[in-house]
Amino acid sequence: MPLFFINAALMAGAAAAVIPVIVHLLHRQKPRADLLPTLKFLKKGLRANRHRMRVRHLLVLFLRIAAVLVIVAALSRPAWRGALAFRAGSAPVSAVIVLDNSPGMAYRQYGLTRLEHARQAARTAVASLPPGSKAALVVSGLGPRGEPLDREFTFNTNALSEMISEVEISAYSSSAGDALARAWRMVEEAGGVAGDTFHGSEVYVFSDLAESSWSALSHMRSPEETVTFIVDVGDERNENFRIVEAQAAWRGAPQPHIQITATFEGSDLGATRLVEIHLDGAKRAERIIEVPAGAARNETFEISLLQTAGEPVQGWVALADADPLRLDNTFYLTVPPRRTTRCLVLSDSPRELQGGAFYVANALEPPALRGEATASVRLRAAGDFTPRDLQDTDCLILVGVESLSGAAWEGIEDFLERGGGLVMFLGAPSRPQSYNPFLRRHFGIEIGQMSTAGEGETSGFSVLSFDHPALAAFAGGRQGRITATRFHAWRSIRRVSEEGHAAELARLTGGEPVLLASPVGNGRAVVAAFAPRPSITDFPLRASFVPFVNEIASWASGISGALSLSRSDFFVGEAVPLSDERRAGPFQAEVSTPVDSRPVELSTASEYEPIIFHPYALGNYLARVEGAADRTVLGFSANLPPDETSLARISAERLESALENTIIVTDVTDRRVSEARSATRGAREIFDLFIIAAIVLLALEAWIANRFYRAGGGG
Amino acid sequence: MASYEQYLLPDVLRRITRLDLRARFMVEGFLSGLHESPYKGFSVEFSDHRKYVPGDEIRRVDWKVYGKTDRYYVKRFEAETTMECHLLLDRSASMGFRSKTLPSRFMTKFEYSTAIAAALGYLMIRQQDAVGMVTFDNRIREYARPRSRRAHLGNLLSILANCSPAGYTDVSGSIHEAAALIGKKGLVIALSDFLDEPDDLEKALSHLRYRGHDVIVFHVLDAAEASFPFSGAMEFSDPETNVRIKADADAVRADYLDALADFVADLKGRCHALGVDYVQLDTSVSFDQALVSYLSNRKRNYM
Repeated sequence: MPLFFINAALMAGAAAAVIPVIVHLLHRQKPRADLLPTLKFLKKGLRANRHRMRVRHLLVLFLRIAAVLVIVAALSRPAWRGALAFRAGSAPVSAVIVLDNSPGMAYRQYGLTRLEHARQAARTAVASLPPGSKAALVVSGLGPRGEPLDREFTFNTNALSEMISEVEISAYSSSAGDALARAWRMVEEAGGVAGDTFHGSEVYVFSDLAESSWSALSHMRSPEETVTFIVDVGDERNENFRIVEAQAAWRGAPQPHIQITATFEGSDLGATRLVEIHLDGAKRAERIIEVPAGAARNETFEISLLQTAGEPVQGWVALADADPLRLDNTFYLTVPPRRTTRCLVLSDSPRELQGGAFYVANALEPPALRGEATASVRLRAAGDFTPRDLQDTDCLILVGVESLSGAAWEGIEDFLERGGGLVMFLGAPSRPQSYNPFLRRHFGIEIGQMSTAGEGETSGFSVLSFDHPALAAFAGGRQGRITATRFHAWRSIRRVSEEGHAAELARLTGGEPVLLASPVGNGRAVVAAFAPRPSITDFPLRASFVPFVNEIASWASGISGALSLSRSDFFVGEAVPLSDERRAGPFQAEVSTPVDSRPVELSTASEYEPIIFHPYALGNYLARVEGAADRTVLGFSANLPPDETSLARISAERLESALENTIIVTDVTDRRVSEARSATRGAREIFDLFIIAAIVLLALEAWIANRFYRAGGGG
Repeated sequence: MASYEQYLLPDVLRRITRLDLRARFMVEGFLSGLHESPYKGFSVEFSDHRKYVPGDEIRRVDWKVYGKTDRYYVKRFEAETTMECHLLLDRSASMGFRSKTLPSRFMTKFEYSTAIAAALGYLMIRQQDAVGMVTFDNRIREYARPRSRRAHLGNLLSILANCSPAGYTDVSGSIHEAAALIGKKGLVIALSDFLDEPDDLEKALSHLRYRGHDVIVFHVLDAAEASFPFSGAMEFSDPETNVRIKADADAVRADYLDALADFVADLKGRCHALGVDYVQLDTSVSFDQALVSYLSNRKRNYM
């Protein structure tokens, strides 16, 4: 409708139109009385005259009502939009500025970041708003504390410009599409208040059109009388190298070290880049890698490091060469502290050279690393074993043990119930009668006689799933290709019950199970259906044997603290849940970051899961938790989600098809912007015309009423 | 303006409350203005002489002329003061009308007519004509027989001063009644708004003419009646019948003035046909028009 009212709510004052009617009726003006002896000369045309009097009477009433209505309409700030609107561009509008402050907007071009370009353009757009306009700000990402940065409509556009200047890159980024939906909702709500439909509305979105920001785009329709401009501050070609992700973990063989696997990606240009690894405050490694254009490259780094006392190891992977988007050139890492696994190896012949116990003990604690390895080993003859030996043990390993007494088995079951670990290598000496009761109860299996491959033949080793934590380290052929292991003989296993929780981890070529794992009480037990002896398998001589024994013992021991993190790598803004076996209440914690150390609340977000809400920042964090049974230092890293700095762009066609009434431009001074604005600003306030109309109506009323009712006549 | 001539203006004269003074001022003002007026020669002070003939009264001889010429002359006017004049004054309620719309400086029709009647009486007595008076509304209310004595002027003025406009009008009936009452032929001057049926008025005036009277009709209208200065919504009421009419004055003005003009023209035409002098006056018009009309009639018929 061409005519609309800026303060339409005031039109309720139109009810005041009844006032002149009431006044008119209450104080209906009587004709002036006078004598006239020559009355008889008046009688001609008197009927027509009475009709004319009534018409004039109604005319005065109409003029009074019209004057009130026009005055009320004038106070409601009428405006006219349409072909007859002259002085186009002077009508105030409702404008919403949407700023995409996702990490990709930190891309630097022409000396400024894209966010700085966007802020400049946004301020220009705000400055070009007609006087009397109101504007709001919607920011796609959250503030440093996770707080929303949106600002409601204000007529103080200067203040809004200052707010725009203060918007920074946010790692708490949400979708720009969501931000646009919020902006449109604001426009609708502003229009819905008391029928405030005066403004045409303009929405300006400043974005680099990164696909990651618009990925959740669904078909949306802009509100009525709203034109949306998406100002593209990005570029089709981008020169960015980034670290998509990195993972770090302790590896125990051949000696304890940290293994870091990182994925690198180059956007448009392939090039060689210098990668640096920093751990515990020092550069530990650097390497030049070739990053292909538009493809990812995985790179693994092995960092030998002396283990610090129970503290997590923190650091980062960095692309040392600068590029336009530096935010994704560093990836922070935290490696949880590696605890020494206390192993007790039982064997009937523990001192036998080249025996199974020999290989296992040397794999866990090589003589050259005694005291520094991730495991400590005690060798004991099976006949000397008493359950008391398990007091300082995390993992019990049976190698070539023929049988154990009933008391010994009871002690082992208690040990498992308390969370201990058990690994059983069931070679030729092992008597099924001694093991099967335990195995039936907890694994649902029984072992039989030894089986052998044919003359000159061997059986291969097939891992069913590398997802199991015990074998995850061997995924992808790492750690010496465990699947190359060959067996001459093995212990036959048959399943006797579907009960039990035994997971089959590996099989031989013929399909016989050779490695099984099962939880027992609070602990874990592993069955290996072979003896680690070179006479029956080449496994002890392979490179994969040492990590295999360490990973198996580490997993079986499953040592967990009272308070721990389920993982140590988080995205910025993610909650960090702590697992707490003791179900302790809220904690006081001090979180140390690379730049400062501050107390933070450690609250119980749910009944059993305390959560640290870490503040916004990319970096490494140490949470020193006090209030639990003991002091615990927990480390974690906060990085950007991998897609946040992806500069792949959404196509303009897709954007325009999804968003109705949207114009994509690269500059707010684009001719299409000014043309489209005429739809919203092509109107002018006609307050002055209404005032003139009111004056004319009042003057007309005064003239007619004065002449008709009040004037004494000529003479 | 000369000191006396200002008294010919109604708004000046109305400030003089004493009727005798009002009449005197009017006449003196009128006569002083005649020195310069086209009516010179009609003056009652002018004395024409004629030769003395036996039988003339000796006291009429103008001895000053004899002293200069040795011949006897007598003043002519002294021998012709035989006219009888009746003033018929309408005193009905409609004559008391004065519009609220107009400024209060205007007289009512009755005041205006009274002033004219007093002035005419003063003038006639001064030239020793006999003057009588009849006041009427729907019938004759006062009657004074014609006399030429100076003392009679006091009677006439007393009648005028003591009557006030009231009652409804029957101009025709009253004229008929007066025609029957007046015996000797003479001059009859009627002052009225003549708000009556033209046919009836014509009959009444023809009755007077039939009785041999010379008749002058002073048709007196209020200035508001003549010009209809009203504007806007008005409620008019007839002072005699109390009939009320609401009207948009602007809308009816033209029709009203047309109707009034038709009435006046009709009345004037009928008077002309009857040999009656018709003089239309309204309360804003100077009094000398009335006096001139009288004198021209007198000259035409009585000198």
